Amino acid sequence: MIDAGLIIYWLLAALVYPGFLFLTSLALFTQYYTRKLSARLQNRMGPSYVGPAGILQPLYDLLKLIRVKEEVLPRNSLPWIGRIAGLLGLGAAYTIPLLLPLSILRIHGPYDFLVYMYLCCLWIPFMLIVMSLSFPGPYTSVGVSRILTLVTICEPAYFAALLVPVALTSSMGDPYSVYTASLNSWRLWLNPYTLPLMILSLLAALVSLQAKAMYQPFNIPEAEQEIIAGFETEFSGPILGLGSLLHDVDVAVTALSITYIILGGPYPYPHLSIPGIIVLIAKYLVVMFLAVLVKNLYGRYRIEQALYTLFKYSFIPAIIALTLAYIYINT
Amino acid sequence: MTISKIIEVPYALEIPVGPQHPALHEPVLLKAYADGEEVVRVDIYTGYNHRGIEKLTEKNTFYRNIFIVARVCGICNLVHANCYVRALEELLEKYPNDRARYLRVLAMELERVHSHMLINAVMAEIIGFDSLFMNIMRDREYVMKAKEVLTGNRVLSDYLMVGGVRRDVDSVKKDRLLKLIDRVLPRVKYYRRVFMEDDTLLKRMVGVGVVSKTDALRMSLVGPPARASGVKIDVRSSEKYDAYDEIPFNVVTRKEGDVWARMMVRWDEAIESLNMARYALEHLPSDGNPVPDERRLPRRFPPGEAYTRVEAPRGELTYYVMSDGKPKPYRVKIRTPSFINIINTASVYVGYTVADLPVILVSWDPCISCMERVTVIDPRTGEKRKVPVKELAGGGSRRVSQRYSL
Repeated sequence: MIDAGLIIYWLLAALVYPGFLFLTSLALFTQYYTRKLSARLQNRMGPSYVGPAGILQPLYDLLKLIRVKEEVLPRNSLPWIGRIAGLLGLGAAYTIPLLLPLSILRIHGPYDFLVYMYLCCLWIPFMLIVMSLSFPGPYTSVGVSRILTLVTICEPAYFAALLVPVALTSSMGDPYSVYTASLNSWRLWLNPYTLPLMILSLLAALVSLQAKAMYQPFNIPEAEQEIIAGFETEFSGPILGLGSLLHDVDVAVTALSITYIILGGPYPYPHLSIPGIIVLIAKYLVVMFLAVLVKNLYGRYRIEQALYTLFKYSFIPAIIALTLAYIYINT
Repeated sequence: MTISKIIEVPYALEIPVGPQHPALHEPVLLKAYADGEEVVRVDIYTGYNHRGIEKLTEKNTFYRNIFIVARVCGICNLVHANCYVRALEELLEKYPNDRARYLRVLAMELERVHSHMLINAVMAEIIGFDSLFMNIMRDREYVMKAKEVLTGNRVLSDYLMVGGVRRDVDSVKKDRLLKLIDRVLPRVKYYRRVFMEDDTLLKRMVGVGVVSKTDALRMSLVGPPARASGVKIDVRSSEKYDAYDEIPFNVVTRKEGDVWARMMVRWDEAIESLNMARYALEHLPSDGNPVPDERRLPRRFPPGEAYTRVEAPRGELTYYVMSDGKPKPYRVKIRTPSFINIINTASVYVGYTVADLPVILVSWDPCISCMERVTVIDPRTGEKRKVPVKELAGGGSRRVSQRYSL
């Protein structure tokens, strides 16, 4: 017998908080924050018309793409596959916050980190690629080949970087659980033995966030001046809205995960306290600020330079931190 | 079992860059064939922006044409007008006074500064460095302001007239111009340092699109692309037109020959130009009114022909004007620097990646509206014939000896 109240609770978690509604708002706010901050760094105004200080501009853009703009289909395109892939990617992204302590419905258990990685690092990029390939074109194929090249280093580096706090905290609760890591990773920053590991892990995660978000210097798959818009060249109308929403949600989820798993979220304060909320929001904004700052301080690398940089500043630090973490656990 | 079907997989991917492309601000088509990321061949197609200006000049009077040729190119309108006006002055044998010659140099050097700042900003944008692009464009506004103070307009100035210029400067304007130059010079030096030191810019530009000195001579490159390959070619120093014989300046050359060297040559030239502009202002002669009385200019031109050259921001620009004694010119022939620099360099792209293609293209400082030449129409048969650009440049299927090619 399933309790009706529980079903409502589940639906509330999936659709309102922290699922669909909350994560979409967070993603759109992140887009606004990125655009406004970039604009101010470049001596521009940025979005300023829709809503107070232009904060509703991303929502307006999304609605316009989905409801007003025409969908132009290139030859040999499979629009239904593109749409389904986009929705599946969004579905995977909306599931991820349920694993974090942010959620009102906390889904956690041993080894749920693998589920997190499966959703975050496999489904979202994979669905983005399927979406892109269902609208084929010469620029699209170059863009997709560039995404695939980038993903081969950036996703393993992200995995290794997040595995450091997850492995270090696996004795404190459920083993290899995102939830346990988020609750306890703030303790690792106070321990002099694990502090350097956390710094390395944070560096690796921030660099791979830059690559996952496709911000400069890693905006190679969508390099505007080289291949028009890369993987999303042939997107138009609703599918473009879906694609850009998927990208924004991906960025928001990745930044949120770094905020919780590596930086420890609001802890040691509880969520529902003023210092807890302030700490959580401040950490999230700082993570995004660093990403936007790097975005504006660099141009675009060539693909081999980007791979080298990712290897040097993301993959190697993450692997070193992970090795040291296992040495620390076993001693 | 016999083979019933053969499927050929093309080794190269065809990537059209243009005629509408975010990297290009003007319509030209570079058809690139890429093997993975590596460019194996580039074909250049022009003809999307042909406006028939040479024909238009034959339909209008000599004086109206001053304003028509200034519209060949927006960025370098003054040098076009200067070249044409000097050709008219040669026909009439009526020369401007010293003050007018200095003012012409001042205006042209300001134009060179903003042209070079523009293309360096575009290069930053092509590399994806948006914040640098925005900052250079903001500081370029000072130069535009200086040009406005001098000529009355930011871009299209229509400043030149046969026998002089159309506006004089007084002491107030002179002070404002000097102040603006003092403001721009440190910024240009700062951006030069950024181009010397910044990690991304160096990674994307150094060693890309290398043209050796021999190749630069063989392709007849002109302007900053030639000077960046070590060819010391500059019409300002060889022709010494206007007041360039009296104003001291250095011809900047570099040996590297890559994209970075071309951009650095432009920054160094911008600094030289600002110093020249300041020198021209500080040593402005006072030998009479530089503004000619336009009502007293001769209506008819004697039969004859004139050929003049100037150093445009993009290289050597030449005008040939022929008069048959009537109020309209018989022929005006324009040869712009972009024409040579773009279409002769298709081989430079080969071997670099798709990502380098727009970077190399921008390093020539392409001015598409300058280089449009031909539209082949056969109205009787309705047949379309594509004239390869190589043929226009003197090569191609109807190849004559290299000595006689353009």
